[in-house]
Amino acid sequence: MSSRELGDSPFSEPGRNGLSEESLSAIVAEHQSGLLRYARQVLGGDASRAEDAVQEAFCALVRQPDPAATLDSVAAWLYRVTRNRALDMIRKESRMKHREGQVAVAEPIAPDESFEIAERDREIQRVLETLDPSLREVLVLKTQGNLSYREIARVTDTSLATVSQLVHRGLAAVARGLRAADVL
Amino acid sequence: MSTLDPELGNGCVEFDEQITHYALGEISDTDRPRIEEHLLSCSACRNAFDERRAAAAFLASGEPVALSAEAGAAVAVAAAGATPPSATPPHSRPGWARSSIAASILIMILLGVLGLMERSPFEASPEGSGGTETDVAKREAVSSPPQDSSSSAASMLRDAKVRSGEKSTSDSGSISQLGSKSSRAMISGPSSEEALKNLSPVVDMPVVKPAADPSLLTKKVIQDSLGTKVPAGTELFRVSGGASGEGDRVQPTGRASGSSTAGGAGGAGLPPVPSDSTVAARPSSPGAYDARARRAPSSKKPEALRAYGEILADSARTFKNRGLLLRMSEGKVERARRAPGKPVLGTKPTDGYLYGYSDRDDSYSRRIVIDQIRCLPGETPNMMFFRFWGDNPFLSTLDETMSTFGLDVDTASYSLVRNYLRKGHLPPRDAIRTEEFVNALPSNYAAPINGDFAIYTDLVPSEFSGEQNVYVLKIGVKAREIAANDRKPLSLTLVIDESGSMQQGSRLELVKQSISTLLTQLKPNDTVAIVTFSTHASQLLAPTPVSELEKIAAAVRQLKPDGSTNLDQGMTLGYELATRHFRPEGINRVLVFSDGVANTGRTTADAILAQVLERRRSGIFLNTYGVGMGNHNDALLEQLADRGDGQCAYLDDFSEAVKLFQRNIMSSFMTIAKDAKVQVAFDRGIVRSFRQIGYENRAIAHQDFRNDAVDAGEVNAGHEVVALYEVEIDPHVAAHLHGLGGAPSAPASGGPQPNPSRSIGQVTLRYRQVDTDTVAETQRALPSPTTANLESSPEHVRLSACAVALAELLRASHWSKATTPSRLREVLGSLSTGSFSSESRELTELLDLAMRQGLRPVRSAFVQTLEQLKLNRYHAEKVRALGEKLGTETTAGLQEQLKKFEQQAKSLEEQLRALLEKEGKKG
Repeated sequence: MSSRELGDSPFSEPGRNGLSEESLSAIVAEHQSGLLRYARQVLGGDASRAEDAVQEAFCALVRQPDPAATLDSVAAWLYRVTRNRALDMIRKESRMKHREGQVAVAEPIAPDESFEIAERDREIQRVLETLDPSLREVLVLKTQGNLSYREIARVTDTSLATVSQLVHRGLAAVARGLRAADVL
Repeated sequence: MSTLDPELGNGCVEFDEQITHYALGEISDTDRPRIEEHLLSCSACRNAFDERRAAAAFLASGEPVALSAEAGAAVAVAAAGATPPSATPPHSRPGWARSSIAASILIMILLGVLGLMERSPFEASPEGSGGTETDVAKREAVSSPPQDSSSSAASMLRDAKVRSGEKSTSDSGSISQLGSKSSRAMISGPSSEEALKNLSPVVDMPVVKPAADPSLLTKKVIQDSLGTKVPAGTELFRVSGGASGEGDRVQPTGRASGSSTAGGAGGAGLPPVPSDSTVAARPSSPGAYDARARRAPSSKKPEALRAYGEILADSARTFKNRGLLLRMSEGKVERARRAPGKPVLGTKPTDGYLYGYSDRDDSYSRRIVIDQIRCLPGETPNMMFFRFWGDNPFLSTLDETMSTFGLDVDTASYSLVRNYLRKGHLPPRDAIRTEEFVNALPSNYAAPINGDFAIYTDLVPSEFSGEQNVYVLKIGVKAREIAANDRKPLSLTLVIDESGSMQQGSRLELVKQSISTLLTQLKPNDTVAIVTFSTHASQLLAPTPVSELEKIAAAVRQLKPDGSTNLDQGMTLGYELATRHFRPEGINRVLVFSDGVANTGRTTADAILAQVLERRRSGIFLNTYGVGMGNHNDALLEQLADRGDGQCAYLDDFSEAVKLFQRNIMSSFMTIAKDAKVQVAFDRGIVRSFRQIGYENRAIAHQDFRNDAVDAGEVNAGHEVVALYEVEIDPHVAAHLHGLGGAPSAPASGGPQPNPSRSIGQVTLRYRQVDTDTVAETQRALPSPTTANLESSPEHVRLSACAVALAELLRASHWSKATTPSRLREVLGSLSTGSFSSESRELTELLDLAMRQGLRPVRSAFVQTLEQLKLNRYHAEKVRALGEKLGTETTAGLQEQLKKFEQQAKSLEEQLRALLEKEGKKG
């Protein structure tokens, strides 16, 4: 990336190289939920490993010696690191077959054991599970991670055009599924 | 596969994909005009847009999750540059002392991790290729030249220590040990050391919470409170299975799974649910109920402990601006939201409300929110203020001199918020009802000797408003007390939620504990009946006198969670039973214990009560008890209690049960006044403006104050109810008071001569006596302002002021802007030795927890500018309203002023749009 925009980067404060305490709290507060949910999707619902991955991503951010390496989007950077960690975990445990450039989710996301997760949320989860993993991933990044298409492209290492198409296919499918389930 | 929506017309194919992008705010500027134009003309595409937009919102709306405390601590430790744990003075960070071992382990783990994480993922080759262990190792090896790793680690730690200004102590040994142990990981090269030097030690980040030991704590509470009071040999509950002999053993609170890292698996970071250990720790009941109760809470996934309320609040947040988003076609999402049988997302009509607007909202709604920051047709400035900020505004006494409201004796919000914070979450805004915070804390007022109520008033300068001439007015109402011997017999009908969700976090066990506590306080001629409900309701126990204690206890032992939640049927049956066995000479009460997530039968407060009220006989009061953090449906239970002549409390742990059912049993059950209303009238000659703190949903029209048909609050024996105001004193009076202005000069408006020794107004309390069924009124003059400061004010006023400050900080109230946590902590500190020491400690704890959870996140330029625009519009409207009031002669000057406001608003709007555009380009 030759042209860097440091607009939102927490490192871009003039006269400051490190990550300030407030910035870090703010970053953690802002992204932890999205990152954890994303990591769970990637890791087939494994909350504990998801937390490990996210924790490592934050630690990596703290120790990132070159602020510029996070480029213009800390969010994308964190998601990327989380994704890499999660994929590492999957690979190491050879629990699932993995194709290049695509997140494989072998088993359906473990249904939440709590009793009261509303019917609606179950429907959404069910519809989400019927999606192709590649669609599901971009959709989660978009809606729960609140990333832009461009950031998603960077996280998943694909092109902008691919992302916008995947998101569209995913969202249209979810909308259809929810309508069929009478949620919409 | 075709992604085309079958409902779209043929001509719309080309727009199909654009609709998605538009719904997600990802449309390019070149495509936008076309799609917008098309959407205006094509209803099929509008539907598709609505659906996708709603689908995206639904996807985003799931439960928020947070890192466990350990994982947070790990990040904090990393950020602090590995400050040696033992070097921190215990008084400044007591958590460290006990968790030092955990922290050093964390450091080691982290350092190990860091070696792996050194490179930017963007520079790294796509992870798909080569993430094997050897590859990682290779990468590490080449990333920097090897060096004397242990010394670099040690120097790093020393650096951190020196920076944080702490004395180097004898822990150098552990430093070098640490360094050498993590030597492999420390081959991270000088660059990371460099970076660490630039990091300041994090102070307020989450640190490892001392392994909470609720077992000990609650055990003590129980022993203190129950040990002597449970009649010897009374085993309310006996062992139900083969669990005997374990009675006093407390389940270790550690993690069950012993998961891979400090990040911890399921539930690791969540403090154990105290009721678990209390169950096992009952001194007089060897064995407790059931082995299930003793299951460590850590075996639960964290999400199982997440609050349903939180999910609701999150959804509400997501949908907050949805009203704005539905301009083009209305109703579809609304229908989805309110469709029968589907959970209702927000319980309040927050659509269109602009408070709590955050950076997380997408760029599409941001674009629209700018247009919402203006006065809507028919909106007064005060209404606009509430829409913008969700708080009561300061009301000028020129417009309004009175404040009328129904007393709220509830305290549920405080314990609910406490539970949120202790479990590591910031509470959602709607869960924080400021007046309940204040009422949850004692004022230690003396009970009246004659009459039903004593009214107390205090006026002290406001510490947290950041304004001069602003005072805090505390009005306290204390109800007469009734001696235990004088009380009438109780006829209690317990309606107990036995649904499956009550199994979580041992909620049902907590209920059993609470009832056993309650039973110890009852007299032989009191009666207890029990109705249980899950999918259906059934009568478990007919009204039974407490003299047959064992029979009641046996029934309670049978409670077992299973099935869905038919609160409706449960309450109906409960009221039927209570009506049938009504004791005219006694106190008749229905007590509902539930986690409040009604999902079978009627599920809203109105519908349930309509059903209940039909069968109910007057003179039956209702208490609702919310149990368990998980999915306590706060709003439903509060509304039930509100409309069912009763009160709502929240049981978060056993100590709360002890408070409600043992210490305050009179104030839980002995109602002395109904429909208690308060009217405060301010003297406009001395008070310029005022705002009521909290009570946002308890306001009553002034003319209804003497309308006895209007339902208001119930007050029980010994209750203390507090209402607080901030009042702005006329500056002339204030100047005179401080000896600055000499003789007071007349105010410009020609009002009465200011007189600082004059009372600022008067308060009237009106209520219906329950015993005589007559309406009574009592009055008292408000005090006059003094120069006393907060420090010299009575302790109970200081405590209330602190409770308000904390609640408003948590609510991110507009009025909390001048409140600094450090000052709050200071004032709380001043209470640490007096009669409210435990309360001030608890508030301090809650403040610290909230700080760790990121109270007051950094706000973006966009949100800050948005605030400026809100202020601009609000002030402009006030000026306009004033102009209308004053008439024509002043219009020229006003017009000039309004023009200036408008110019400023325009430039702010431009700035906002520019910020969005910049963002759009970047994204």
